[in-house]
Amino acid sequence: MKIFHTHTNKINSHFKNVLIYIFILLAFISIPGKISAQENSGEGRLLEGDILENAAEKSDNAEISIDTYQENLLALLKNPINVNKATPNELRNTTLFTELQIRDLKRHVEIYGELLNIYELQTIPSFSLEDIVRLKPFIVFSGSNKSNEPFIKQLYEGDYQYFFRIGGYLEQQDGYVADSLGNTEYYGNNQRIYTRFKYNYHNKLSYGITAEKDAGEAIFGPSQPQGFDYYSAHFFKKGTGRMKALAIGDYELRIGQGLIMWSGFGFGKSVYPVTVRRAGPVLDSYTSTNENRFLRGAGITYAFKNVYVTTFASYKKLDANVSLVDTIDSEVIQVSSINDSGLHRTDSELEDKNSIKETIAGFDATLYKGQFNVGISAIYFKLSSPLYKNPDLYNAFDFAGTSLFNSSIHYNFLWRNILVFGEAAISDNLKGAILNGIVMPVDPKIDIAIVHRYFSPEYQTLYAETFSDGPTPQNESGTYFGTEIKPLRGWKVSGYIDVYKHQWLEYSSDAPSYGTDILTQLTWQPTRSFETYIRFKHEISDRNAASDNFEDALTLNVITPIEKATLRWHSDYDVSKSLTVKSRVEVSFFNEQIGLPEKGYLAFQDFNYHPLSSPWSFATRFAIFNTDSYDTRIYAYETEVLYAYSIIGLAGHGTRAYFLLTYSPFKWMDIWARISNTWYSEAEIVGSGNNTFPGNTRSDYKLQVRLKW
Amino acid sequence: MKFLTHILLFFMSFPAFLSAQTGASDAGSRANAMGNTGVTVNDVFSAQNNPAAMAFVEHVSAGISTQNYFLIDGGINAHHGAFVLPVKDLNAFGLQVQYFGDNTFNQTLIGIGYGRKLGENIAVGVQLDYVGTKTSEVGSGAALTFDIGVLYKPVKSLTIGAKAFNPVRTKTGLTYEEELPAIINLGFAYQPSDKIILCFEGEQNLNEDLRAKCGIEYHIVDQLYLRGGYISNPSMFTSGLGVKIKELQLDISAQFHAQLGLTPGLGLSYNF
Repeated sequence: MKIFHTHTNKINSHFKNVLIYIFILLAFISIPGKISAQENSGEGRLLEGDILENAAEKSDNAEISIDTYQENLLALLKNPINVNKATPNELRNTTLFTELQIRDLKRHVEIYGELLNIYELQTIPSFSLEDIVRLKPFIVFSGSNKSNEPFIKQLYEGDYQYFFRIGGYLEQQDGYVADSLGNTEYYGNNQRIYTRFKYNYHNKLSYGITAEKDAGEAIFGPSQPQGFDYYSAHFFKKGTGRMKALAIGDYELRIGQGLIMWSGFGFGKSVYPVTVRRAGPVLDSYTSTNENRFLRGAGITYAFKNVYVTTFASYKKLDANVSLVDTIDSEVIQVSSINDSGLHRTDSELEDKNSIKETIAGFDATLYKGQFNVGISAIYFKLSSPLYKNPDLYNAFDFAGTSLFNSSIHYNFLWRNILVFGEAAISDNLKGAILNGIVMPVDPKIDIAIVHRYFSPEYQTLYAETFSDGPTPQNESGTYFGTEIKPLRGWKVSGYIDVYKHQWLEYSSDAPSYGTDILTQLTWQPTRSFETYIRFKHEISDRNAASDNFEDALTLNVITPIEKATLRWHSDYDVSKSLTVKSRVEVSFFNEQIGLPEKGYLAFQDFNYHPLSSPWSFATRFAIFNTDSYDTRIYAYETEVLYAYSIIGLAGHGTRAYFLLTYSPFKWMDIWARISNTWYSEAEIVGSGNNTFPGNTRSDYKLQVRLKW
Repeated sequence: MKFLTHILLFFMSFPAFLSAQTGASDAGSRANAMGNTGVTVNDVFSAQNNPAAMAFVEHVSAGISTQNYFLIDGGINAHHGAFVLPVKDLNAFGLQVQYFGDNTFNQTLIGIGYGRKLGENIAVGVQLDYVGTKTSEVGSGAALTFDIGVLYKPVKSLTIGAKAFNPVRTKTGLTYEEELPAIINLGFAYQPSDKIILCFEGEQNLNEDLRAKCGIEYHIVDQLYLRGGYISNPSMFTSGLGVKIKELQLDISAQFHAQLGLTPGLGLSYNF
């Protein structure tokens, strides 16, 4: 995950949601005619577009990455799926279709025979024109989804890619400055290095290896004897026979709606308000660089007629904060937290590295019967040393000890046009969590979605992540209502309202707390080349009042409703086939109910130039920002080198600019070079601790090469 | 606990729904289920919600509805009774009675209204209101005021409505100089087909924060309507359903406040 660079450490922890948004974007934003453009720039364009940075404001303790999903989509782009031949589950696993569309498509094929072309898809009511434009690059109407090649040939007749990426800050941060004895806080230099080899055979078989070092981590030397800080390898095969999927090495696992297990991306609250259901393959390859949130071992999905049984096992080491050590053989007796940052730069960070071992095993069995499916699953976690968090009231019910058992029932049911889905789970302390949702196209122009959830404060999980306001399905109950309305051609109104409650204390609220989260957006797209929208987001949630914040666990703070709002205008215009300009103005408000509300703004202008005939292309931005405080910071997505992401939260007063150059001299080679700079007009010191920058600017460079053959 | 609830009620929510009650566009269980969006919908409760909308009511109709706030013992209730009499396509007369409060504080409103179509797609309306206020502490008072409304349909699927209650800011007539709330409602309803209505409304009590309200009604099968909605300030989800048996319509509603809990409602209306 350290392929990101951020301006504050705090922002780093917000990435999960941001990634989720990128994911949704990839999946759902229509990029008419762009995806099918030439392959190279096509890939670049997938990453662009309107990224929903406001999600980054949500704090989170877990990180997941969308690399796998993005790669799957790109692989699908190269090897489109034949929708006539694909089974419902194969269509589901692409995550591009709704349940309703899958059913209608299959019915259509059954009644009228195979579809001949994309135009015939328009005759199916559940496929809107927008859907068809979005799906077009990923689907075909002839050819086979099965591989004819023998297994051995699948192992080497596909596409190979190799990536090498290096980047870092130009300024020297304090952690790299030697003290009088010549020692530095960080063991390594300030470069980030990422390298990766991947193989893909028609989206059916893949394997690869990824290695990475974060800024400040050494390569070899006493602190990193094995070279890179992080290695990951995987082998993944999709099957069309009885064996549906096989994962060896690092993999992702998703069950039901995520109440007991969800690694990788899942939908949450977004500007796609009716996309609320979790779906996707149970097993998937893992190719990201988050160093903790994945499974390492093996998993297999096998079909016994209509019942798909997935069994999985994982064993890996985790970073954890050691709180008690056996003084004789220095064995870890107890840990106080599991550390997801994946950073191993200093002595204390290295101490935590791989300090405990985690074993996971379980199964999922899902019965598919027509428009209905229901599954049961169970998962068992075991840590080599017990986890005991520093006792505090807010974490009184969190998981503690060495082993945890979770079990759940999940279902999906499509009745007429109405999709009902849900999951109910329990943990081994017999506390439960339940989530149910409904998605209805009540009118051809109106879709609505409702999700209700109740998560007991005492429900315990380790890898769960679901549709909720908080990061995990614990201590929350709430109701969500989302709608998407297309009243006139080119116009769209989308919005949601989520009202939720935390029955027990939370980290930042010393009393049961309530929240209301509202988003509305009006989008106007008069032509394919121009889109503009206005978005208003407003959230009120109870937090400890800042004026009397006691750190003492025994003193309870007074809670107060905190109000946050942003208003954004954005426009995106394709001036010609090769030039896109984007503009944005965003204002933010933050009101703690004491003193005056704080405010801030951000404005930027982008130019993205991708001439079709030239091997060169570039993307650049100039932004100005002025915010009263860190609380009124504004996030903005930036165009990055392929497979890297940056979402920058800007606070203070200054400017931000970047320039990304892409050069594709040969068919088998692409080069990206990027430089960015943030200048603060007032700040004397930028950053904090070991990450303190000298002066009031910070500049970041990145260079990436891809070879493919 | 009960005591606490009362205290909470008084300090947090009472002023908000108090002011929203007398004179707001929130009469009828149908509107209650749809986030109190009443200003754009034409039914018998238009007699309170928007006198202009009465001109679009096709039948002689009568209705009653009731709500019990947060199921509190002793009862803070709202009751409505309404009657609409359309005359010759263009005109309609209305009569309405409403009661809101409990035995320590309550208000009764009696209104006589008139709505008239100015064209195929536009109507205006006016209503005279008598408002009696009774308190256990500071005596009683009475006031006369009025409300005016407009409703128009610029295109088939869109209805826009507005209503102002007590725009002249009459006093309640109590010994202390308490004003009756002046409330302005403005909203629109989007109805792409016979099956669905979406309503959005803003309600501004001149002494309070703006309330945003939205609601949806889904005519799922012949006799059954499903409804949902949301109100801000204070934040409440609403839901309900309606059953239509020939000319009789039965509506139930439920409004959920995160801290204070449930407000159920029940209504009956009949087209003669």
